Amino acid sequence: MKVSNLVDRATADITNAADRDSIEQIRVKYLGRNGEITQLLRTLKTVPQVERPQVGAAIHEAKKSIEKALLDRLTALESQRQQELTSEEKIDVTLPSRSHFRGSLHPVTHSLALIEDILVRANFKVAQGPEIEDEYHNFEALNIPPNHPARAMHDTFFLKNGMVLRTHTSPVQIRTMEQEQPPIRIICPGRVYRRDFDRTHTPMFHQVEGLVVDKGINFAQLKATMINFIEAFFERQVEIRFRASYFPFTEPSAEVDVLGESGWQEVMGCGVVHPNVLSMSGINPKEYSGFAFGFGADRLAMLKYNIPDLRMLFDNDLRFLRQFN
Amino acid sequence: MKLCTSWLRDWVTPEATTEEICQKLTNAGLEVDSVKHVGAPFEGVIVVTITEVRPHPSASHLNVCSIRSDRDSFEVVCGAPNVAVGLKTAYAPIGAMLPDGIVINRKSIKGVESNGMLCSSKELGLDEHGQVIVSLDDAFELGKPLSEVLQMEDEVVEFDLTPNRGDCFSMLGVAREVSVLCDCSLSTPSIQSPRETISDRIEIHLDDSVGCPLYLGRIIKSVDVNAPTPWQLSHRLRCAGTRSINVIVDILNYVMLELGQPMHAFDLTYVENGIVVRKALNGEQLILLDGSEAELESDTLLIVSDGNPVAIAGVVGGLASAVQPSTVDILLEVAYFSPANLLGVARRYGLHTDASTRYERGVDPTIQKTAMNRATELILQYAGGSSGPICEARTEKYLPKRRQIKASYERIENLTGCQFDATLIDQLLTKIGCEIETSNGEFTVTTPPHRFDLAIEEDLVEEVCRIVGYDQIPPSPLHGILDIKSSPRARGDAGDLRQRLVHLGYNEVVTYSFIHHETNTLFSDSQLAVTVANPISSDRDTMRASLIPGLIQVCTYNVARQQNAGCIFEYGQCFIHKNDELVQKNFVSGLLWGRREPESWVASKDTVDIFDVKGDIESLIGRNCEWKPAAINWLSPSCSAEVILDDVSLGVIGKLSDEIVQKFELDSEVYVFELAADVLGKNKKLTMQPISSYPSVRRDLAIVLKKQVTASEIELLVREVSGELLKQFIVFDVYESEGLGKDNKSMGIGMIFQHLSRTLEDSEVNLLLEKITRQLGTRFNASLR
Repeated sequence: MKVSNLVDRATADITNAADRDSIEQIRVKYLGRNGEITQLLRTLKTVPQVERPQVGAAIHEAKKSIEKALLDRLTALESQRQQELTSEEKIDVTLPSRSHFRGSLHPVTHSLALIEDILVRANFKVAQGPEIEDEYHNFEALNIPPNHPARAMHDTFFLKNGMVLRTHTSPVQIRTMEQEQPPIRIICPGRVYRRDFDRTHTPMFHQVEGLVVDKGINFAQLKATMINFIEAFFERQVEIRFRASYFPFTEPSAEVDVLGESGWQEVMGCGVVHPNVLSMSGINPKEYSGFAFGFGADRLAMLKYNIPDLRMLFDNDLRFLRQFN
Repeated sequence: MKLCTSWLRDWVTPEATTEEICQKLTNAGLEVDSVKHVGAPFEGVIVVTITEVRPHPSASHLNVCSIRSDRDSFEVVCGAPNVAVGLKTAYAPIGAMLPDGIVINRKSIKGVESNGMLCSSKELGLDEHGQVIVSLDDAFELGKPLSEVLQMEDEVVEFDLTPNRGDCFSMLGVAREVSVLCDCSLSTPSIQSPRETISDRIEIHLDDSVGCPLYLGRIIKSVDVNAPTPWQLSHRLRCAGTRSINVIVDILNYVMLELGQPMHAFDLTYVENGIVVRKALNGEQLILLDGSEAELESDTLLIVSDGNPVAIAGVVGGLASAVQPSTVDILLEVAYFSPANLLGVARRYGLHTDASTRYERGVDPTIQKTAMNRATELILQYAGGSSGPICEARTEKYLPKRRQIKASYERIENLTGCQFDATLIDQLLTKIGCEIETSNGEFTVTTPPHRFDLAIEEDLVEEVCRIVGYDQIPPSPLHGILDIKSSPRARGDAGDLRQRLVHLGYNEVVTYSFIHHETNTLFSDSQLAVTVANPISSDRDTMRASLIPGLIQVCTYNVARQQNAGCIFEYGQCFIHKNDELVQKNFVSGLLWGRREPESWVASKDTVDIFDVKGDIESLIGRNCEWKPAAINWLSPSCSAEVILDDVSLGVIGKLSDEIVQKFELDSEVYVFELAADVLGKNKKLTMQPISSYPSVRRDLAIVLKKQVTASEIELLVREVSGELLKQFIVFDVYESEGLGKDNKSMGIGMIFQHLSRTLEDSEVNLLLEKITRQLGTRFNASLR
């Protein structure tokens, strides 16, 4: 009997085998105790001595190749079975999920949180105060006496009991200085109110004011702090310009502009604290100096998030709000 | 304030471009708002001469004129009385454009064809003279565009001046700054004392010499009020946005723009018996230039003649005594009114005039005589007349003096953080007009009379910085003590509350703190309302006592934009007056409407209900709280609850009442919550509780009880009886059916018991259950099903 014929027959059987059991039967048929290969091996001793090594090798070769064919077929059958199984149970994972409405923080809150995070890193503390203020804390204590022309810069809302809606958060600085001695390093975020309404003004907006009072505080430090802050807020290098301005509570005073696509944009006001403001709040201006700054969180949010119209912030359109999650 | 650059360049001639000059001015604190090109108010008008004048064949008041430009001739019909052969005038040919966009067409006037028109200065938009056609200077070349020969192509710079720089409300002030910043010389027009040809004097009495320490008057007789205002002057006034009135008023406005000193002219007939400057008496009235009647208040400074007010000092003149076309003799007024006295006066009468703007900020107390001479000179030149002497009333002691400020180079260095050369400081301060005396690192500065804003050393620091340029001061880092203290968290717990609500799917909104008083009344007692005296609009006249109205408005806004589901919240202050005390407290409130989940193949179609709100609040609070039915008039009485935490009422939740739903035209059920944020936000102390390692036992009961018995009553009873052994109380089922009886309901409750230090015996749990069952029976008449 020719060994090669045997291999051909076995290979054909294996190719036709459709499952595990058939494979096992084939294995028994050829390689089992009474299998054809086993029987061939038994006949080996009848082969003449000289031919024996050659014939033996051929039989072993045949055995090996049948074993390999069996294993290959078994693997193929197994993977085919697996495939059939998964395609039956397969889930379309691209179907929409069991989802929730996605919440979002208001863009101004995002902006305020970022501002606070940045400045708290420089050891500023957050101070808060009432939105309805007395005229003393909103104006007089900030070196803005009654009828001062600077009051026209703040279009003030008056209440019927002689109080005002604070026009800035600076009164919180005054309240802090009245209670604490330097070193003082605070920021005061919050809502403020001015009678103004157009594309870039709403009668209510959010301000953050900062105050540093200590020995040896100067304008150069104010500049460094503002530059660091602005770059941290916008997360990039920004071209910044300081120009002279006027606030009754600081001297020297400056406006800070950043260069945007449409030219210079005013972002904040700042300056070295006016000695009258310090002494009115019980701090000796001969011993201490300070700087103060203030800016609109809404305005910064507009610049950072590319919001074209301030009023959109207070329309509260869900399609707008949901973008800020 | 607006000024044209052609004028500026008459006074200073820096090499810089307009853009560069504006940049420097802006950086130094004179913010330039805009630079705009201005042309003539007309287009295509040229210089012509009249070669022939013939009467119109069919209209007696019209003439037919032949005119000639440099090369062409035309025929036009003209009604002006001053047409004459040889007159050089302005011709608007066919296609030329006059102010207001009027384009000239060929047309026939009573049978004679007119090829364009000869123009009066009113028709050209130059002034108010409409009677005669313009008469042009002989030197003007024929055929040249009129805008070119009149030099009307210009740039107007608009300044946004800060209140401290009153000295810059004039060409003189701006030119002074430019000369300092661009380092160039300043040439002011030379002003001579005009020849006095009459000796008429005016009596001046200063009753209030504090408010008015200096008053100059001068009589000019026989002026021609109807003379034309010179072109250049009216061009400059037009650029400044000042309307041309008549030659006298125009000249006074011009001098004010030039020198910063407001001036006024009276018709002498009304003031010839002398001028008194005094405070108003009660009940006095004055009809103002604009025809309105002012009720004068007793602290208002007046100019009075013959007992009658003729002007509000430094603000506005009266109508009767104003210079009119019929006026022949005039009295010029130039005064120094103290700013302290004028502050707020203009605002009180709602009159912001060019004069009040300047007087309020302060004018140079040494410039009055110069201004008087300048105005007189121009009036005599352009309106004729004969001038009398200057009459002066002065109270020296109330006039501001030049200030002396002590300063030190060291202090300047300390405050700026930048080392300036002492000689540079001296130079800069000298340039702005200060006089300096130095001794040993200290110096004394005498300020120039126009810089009344310079009062303390810090003001000098700012001057040095702004002239050098803020950009020239190198930034240097802030130093300080890094002290770690236990202090309130940076953003406090407001940040946490917000974040938690966002995770629960809420969108944060920010609404205005002022709402309509009627809306506010729906949510809070009107007695407690905090009212805004000068609201931005009548529908925002009250400070909100609740955040709910704002949330409702956001809901309706979004529903109108097809947003049929949403959950929103706001964190913010609310305001009430309680026992005469203003209460400002933070609240966090939310509002939900529509589907519970976004539409999807797996989502339920259910809409939100009160248990969604309740669940959210429990997540927000993060620990056990007590709930009881609430009675709030803006919430549905059958579907609202009060939340109590540690025996303190935290707020309410519920469905908006039918009344509110109707009032705001909400078409779906809307659920809300409103909680006191300051209570809610209190830091929860985290402390570990031991966990039992012994098995727990669960027992369920199905009980039948009266409908009005609440779940929390049952829970309370079970907790009371079980004590610490009860780990969890579950309501797994509630239903009502006819079989139970119409007043009854069935409730399935599950109880999980566990002991901290041993395994619970079956018998003790059974005993507990028996006790619970018995108590349910006795207290709530509940039976096991």
